[in-house]
Amino acid sequence: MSVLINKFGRLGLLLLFGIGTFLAVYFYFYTLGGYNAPPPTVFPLDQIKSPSAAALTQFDESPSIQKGVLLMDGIHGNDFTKTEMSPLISRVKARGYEVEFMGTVGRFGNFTSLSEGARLTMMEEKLRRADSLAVIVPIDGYSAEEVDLVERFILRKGGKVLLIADPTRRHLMNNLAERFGLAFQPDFLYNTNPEQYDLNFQNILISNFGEDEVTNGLDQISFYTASSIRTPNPGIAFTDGGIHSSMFEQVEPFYPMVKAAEGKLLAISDMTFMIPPRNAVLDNNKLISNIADYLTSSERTFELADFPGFFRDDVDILVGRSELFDVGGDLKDGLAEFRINASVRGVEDITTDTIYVGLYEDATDVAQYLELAGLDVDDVIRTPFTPDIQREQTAIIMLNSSPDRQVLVLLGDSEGALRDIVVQLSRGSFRDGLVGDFVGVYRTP
Amino acid sequence: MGRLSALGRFASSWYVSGPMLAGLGVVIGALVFFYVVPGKPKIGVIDIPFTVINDDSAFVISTFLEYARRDDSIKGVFIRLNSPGGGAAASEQLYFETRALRAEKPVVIIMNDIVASGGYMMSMGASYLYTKPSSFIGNVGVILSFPGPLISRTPSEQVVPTGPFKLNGGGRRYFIGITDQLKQAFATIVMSERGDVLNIPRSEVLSGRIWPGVEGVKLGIADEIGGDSDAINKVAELAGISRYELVDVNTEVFRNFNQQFKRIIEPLEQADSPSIAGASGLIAALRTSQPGANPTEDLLNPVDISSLRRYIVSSGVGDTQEEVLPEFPLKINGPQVYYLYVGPNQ
Repeated sequence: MSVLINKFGRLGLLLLFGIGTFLAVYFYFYTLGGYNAPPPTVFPLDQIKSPSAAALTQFDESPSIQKGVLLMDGIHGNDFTKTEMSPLISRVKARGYEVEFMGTVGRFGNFTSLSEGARLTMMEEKLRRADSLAVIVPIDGYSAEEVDLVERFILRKGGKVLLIADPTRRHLMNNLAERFGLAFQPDFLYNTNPEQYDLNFQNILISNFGEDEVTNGLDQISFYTASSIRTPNPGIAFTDGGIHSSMFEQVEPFYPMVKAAEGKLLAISDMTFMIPPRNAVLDNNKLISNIADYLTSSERTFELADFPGFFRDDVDILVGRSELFDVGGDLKDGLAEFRINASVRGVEDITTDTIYVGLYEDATDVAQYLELAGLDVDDVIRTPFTPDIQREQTAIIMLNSSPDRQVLVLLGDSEGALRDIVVQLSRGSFRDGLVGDFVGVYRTP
Repeated sequence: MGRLSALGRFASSWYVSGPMLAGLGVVIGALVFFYVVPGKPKIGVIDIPFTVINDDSAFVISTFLEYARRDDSIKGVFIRLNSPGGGAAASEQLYFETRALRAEKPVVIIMNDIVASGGYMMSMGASYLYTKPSSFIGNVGVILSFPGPLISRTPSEQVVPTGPFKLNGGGRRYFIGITDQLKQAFATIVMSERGDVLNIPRSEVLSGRIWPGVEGVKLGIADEIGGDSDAINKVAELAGISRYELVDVNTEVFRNFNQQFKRIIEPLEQADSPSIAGASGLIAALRTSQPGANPTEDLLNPVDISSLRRYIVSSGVGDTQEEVLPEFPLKINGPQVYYLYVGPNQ
């Protein structure tokens, strides 16, 4: 110790033990090396790109005009407003079609529900007049009877139907769609490539189309949260290249726009692409116009049961003899209740829808129409559908329907018989006497 | 005199002065270690049980992080985190505060049940991430929400704005675009912090998927599977310490808060002045704002911080617009941005 003290001196000894103690304690608690803080991360603002937005486009058109009625379903609590559908409605109206809404609108613009029975009655009545039907986001499901009606409307009467559902809104569309082999899937389509969506991954861009009137002239459209539609046949718009389904992680394509029922039913799984301003993105406006063209090009055929829905314009009433002018007047009043203008005339205008009112003795005036329907009015009434019928206390109604003109023939054995069937026409009870699609035979008091 | 000089000679003799100096050196060495630098090391433990991050919870957690950063005896921080995220700005606040802490001390987060979205954003500020095999982690993305449909306000005779977007801030498409930008910003944070260890592309991060911990580690979303002990050992390793104490930061912060609160309140209560009523009112307000609280409990009982903030910044704070801006004719209806995992429909 004295050697150490002598060598380092007292201060050295103090430092030696002090440092030694410090190090001993330090290494008791610490290890070699300490915390090396990472360099501060810099937030790279330049990597944040402006979102890719699809272009808004100007769209003009000069559509051709035709008469018809588009019926819009609003009796299944449908979750849309007239304002949202205005781009489609205005295009349909611009084509000369009348747009009729079924159902009543609630305070906030949405449609209210009806009971199943009331719905069926209303649909039966409204579809008689309609050329096309649009069913958009029905919250209440279609009953089997309603689906039957729609199926008959399409397959027997040539009506066109548009089904639009949307994954952002609750709906029971599949009750109806499944009858035609379609199912709106409970998924949504998306694309995670920022170059291939409009502002958000759910807003997919579609540029693959099958050849069809609805996709005619489309280059690229944008759907704003669409689901896929299961279909036995390829859809008329399909995805490829990076679009996925939120539920079905299968290989593409997915179909958000599909036709069925021999092309008479169009199903689309996005509604919001029509709502301004999204209707102005890419070719969406063109698509809306194509849909309007599709709906207004219905090849609707009418049957007698559709009275008075087949009359689109003013109607001429021809009476076979002067004593029947009063019956013609009654008929005119009855048509007025259906908001159809009629005029009693003495000469047939073959460019105008016509109702002929006459006794059996006047049958020769309308022989050409009777012949087309297979009717023969002689001592007895012969029809292709019934045994021969005695003329006394009877009347017949016959419709001759063509795309250009509707001719309704009312014949009876007396003025009283004719008055009776005019009343039956007004009340709708004439349908009980139908013996074929175009002919009805009635016992009269 | 002779005795004193003899004592001096004795004290300066080698067999006496040597041990004395050595002992003094030991004492000085120990004092320097414990009281000057670097001191006995501690690891701060911050417990964040299931928390939806909002302005208030972010304020409290930020206070924990700040305490851990300012206390020199805390050499590293271990955070138990369980959060599905929450408000965007609040989550970003926690990311920035965690990152500031990491700049000075290692921060290791153990992800418990769920660390998603804004919770995951906070964890991006940590040095190292542990997860349990069954934890749910990730869910990078943004949710923009409007209280109602984004319909432009109609022009009004009562209200005069100065620009076409002064009232709304922009149209629907504009806000959807903003959401996409915020998503990119979130992804940029993830890529900046973990880009070198991620085994998935940016697009997959942005998908918003939530992964179980066992998969998340494989993908580089977290660093390692482990429990609390593993995480604490990791803090010690990163901090370069072998023996340490654990400090419950939550408790320390609340103890400090209540002590400060007591220092403010006690003089007011004892003083014979008109402010007594104000002090009593403050105490009562703070105590009764807590569910099940007893207003007569002593001052060390924790008080609700949000209530204190609300009390101090009373102007402009309220639950309803009628309370805060009673005369403003338009309903305030702004968009809300969230980094939040909400899960599937019930």
